[in-house]
Amino acid sequence: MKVLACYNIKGGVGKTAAAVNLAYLAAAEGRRCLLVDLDPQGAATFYCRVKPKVKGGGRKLIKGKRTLGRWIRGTDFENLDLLPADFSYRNLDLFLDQTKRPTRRIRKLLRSLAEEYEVVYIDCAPSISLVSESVFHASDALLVPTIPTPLSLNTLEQLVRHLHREELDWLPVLPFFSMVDLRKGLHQQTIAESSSGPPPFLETRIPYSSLVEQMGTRCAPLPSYAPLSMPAQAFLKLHHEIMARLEGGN
Amino acid sequence: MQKKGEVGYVINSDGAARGIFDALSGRFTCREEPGTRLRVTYLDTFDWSLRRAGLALCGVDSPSGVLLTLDSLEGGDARIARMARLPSFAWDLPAGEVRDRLEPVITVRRLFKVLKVGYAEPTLRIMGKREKTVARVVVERSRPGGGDGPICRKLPLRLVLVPVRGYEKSMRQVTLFFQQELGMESFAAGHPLVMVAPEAAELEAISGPLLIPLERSMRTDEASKRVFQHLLQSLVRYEGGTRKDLDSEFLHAFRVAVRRTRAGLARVNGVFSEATLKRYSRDFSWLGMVTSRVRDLDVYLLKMPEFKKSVPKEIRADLKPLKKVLQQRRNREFRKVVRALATARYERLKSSWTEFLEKPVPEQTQLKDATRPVGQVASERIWKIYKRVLGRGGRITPESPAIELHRLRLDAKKLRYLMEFFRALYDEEEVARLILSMKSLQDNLGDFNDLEVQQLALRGIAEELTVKRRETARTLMAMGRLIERLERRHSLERDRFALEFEQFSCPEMVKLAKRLFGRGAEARRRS
Repeated sequence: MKVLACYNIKGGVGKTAAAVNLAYLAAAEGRRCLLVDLDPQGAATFYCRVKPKVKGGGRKLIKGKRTLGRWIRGTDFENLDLLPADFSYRNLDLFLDQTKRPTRRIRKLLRSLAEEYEVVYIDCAPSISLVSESVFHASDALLVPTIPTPLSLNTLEQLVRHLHREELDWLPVLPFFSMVDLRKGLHQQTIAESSSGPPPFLETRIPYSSLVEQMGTRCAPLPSYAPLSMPAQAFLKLHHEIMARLEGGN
Repeated sequence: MQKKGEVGYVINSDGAARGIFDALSGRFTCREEPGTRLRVTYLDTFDWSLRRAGLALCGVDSPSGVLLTLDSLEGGDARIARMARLPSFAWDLPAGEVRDRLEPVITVRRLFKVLKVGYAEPTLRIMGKREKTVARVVVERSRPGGGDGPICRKLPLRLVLVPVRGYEKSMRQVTLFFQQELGMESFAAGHPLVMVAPEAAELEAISGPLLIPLERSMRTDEASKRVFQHLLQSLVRYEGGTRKDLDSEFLHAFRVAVRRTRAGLARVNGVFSEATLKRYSRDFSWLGMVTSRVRDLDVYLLKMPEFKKSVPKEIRADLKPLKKVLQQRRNREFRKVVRALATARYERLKSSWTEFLEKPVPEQTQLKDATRPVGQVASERIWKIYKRVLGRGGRITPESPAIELHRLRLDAKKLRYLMEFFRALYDEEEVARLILSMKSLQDNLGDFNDLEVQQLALRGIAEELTVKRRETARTLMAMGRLIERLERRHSLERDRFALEFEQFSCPEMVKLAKRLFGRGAEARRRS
């Protein structure tokens, strides 16, 4: 089982769209996939049309003795399941803090599903907290959607420095440019100057598109309603690039 | 592919599916969508090894190749692997859990496509709040895999209700609707593979012990013909795969049928005419002989990994030329087998043997044991050879020459085959115990013999290989080490014999054999 966390300290960079679309694409090619929505906003859960409710709330999820399976819901798509968000996740830090080895807790919970799923995508809340620490320890790679602006790059650098301080250098960081608008000179310049890193960006860039925003009205992953569109094809290319990295052991 | 919780309903036609979709749409919020092009191919061996082990292996085409899933028939225990194409053998799979689980079950057997299931028809989504899909209804169309694989029963057209995780309540409502409003009961055996594979009894007959229904009071000639007929069917079943060399187990199963027939023929004197027995003994002996060399070479090739492990790591690669020589010889011998099976002699053997077996037994006959109850005749003959095995084995000492163990091995084989031939006449549990008690002794005697034969064969090959290149010299040295190792093991097997025979001939087992076959056994059964 491979765990991929879609993470950025900044909000509004396309984390949820990336998590949902990439999870859908992995499922569509036959991989059993779980999408975990850890963001109390519950956007990924909304896109999947699932009720944002976990019986017992975040406390039960984190501290309970039972496995995650009881809260998982099937989506409308073959091979794709969802562990929904719950508003109580705003206190997930507190619940984690009350456990033994809080930074290992999410890893332990996810590993119990290793026989059921090949790929897990985590849609993370935009913050640095105990929850994100726990996600880092649970993940095989960190996908970091990054809008190509100097401020976003600064945030990426902060993240990399933070991982280094926490001795998490082993965790592969895979940034990719998201919501790219090549009509903007700033985007072009940022991409030209920063693609090679460090850390190096994935080759695929996800364009800004109103079709992606339509995920909110259609409540469905983009490739399910506009598979041939440019952004959908970009997500497909991104999916292949990520899978090649994971399977190549990079 | 079959998922846990799926419920299948047999339907008569596409029109019936349409009617059910309309009925469901009247009761639930539904949306119809084009079907997927998903096609699932189920794989199994010729003798349904996976089905018998309660497993299902299937492949689904995906953009990145084939997604292979190995799961229990009940579902919920799936392991997956990805490959470029469907595998033919377990060793085609990449290292991993699927291969690890598959190899011990199918060993060297070839995998065939046994069933292809498609889901191209429109799908009906049953929706809950916010148009969330809570269940799906799909039309499942299937056809047999065809080709050289096992014969399958036809799978009916099915409507499958597919659950969505976490929406079990909705699933229950829909199944209740099927039951109460549509009057449809779900198909009892949910998994497609269970539905197309032979029934349990037939599966058992394919690979299990020889259990042909016989009555103890039947005439011996009639009972014997029945057993021979079963063996002939088995021979014919494996003939095609043998000719095409689909895997080494076809020839092995073919030879088992031949051997059992020969063993039966050797023990039914006085039941059929001498001329008949002589003729068919000679013909089946010929069939055994023409296929024997290939089987020996197959066994050596299968043992190559074991041979390699027997020598130090640094010289294992030097055994490669040996494998090449074995393979070349095997291919040459196999061509002889194909030629033999294409001869008029073989066709005559089959047709005349079939004719003989189908001919009703004569009402009157001079043959003294033909009309006697088979229960009596079988027990007498088994008991006679059993005593011979006990006697011969009991006289073997550590100083006895190897030839004595070989003679004992042959007698033990005859005993085992005879017990198997008439197995159905006895209490299954008791005869199974007795056969099991023989197994360890037979394995010991068999290994003792095989190790000697292997050494001789390897010496023979070594003598033929000339030292032309350095590589050949290295190969000879590696073979020398291998022969040494085989000699050591041969010696160990010799030392084991005494213990094995003691276990076989323990008072408890002798008492059991006497109860089953000894003098007075029939009378005791009747009283």
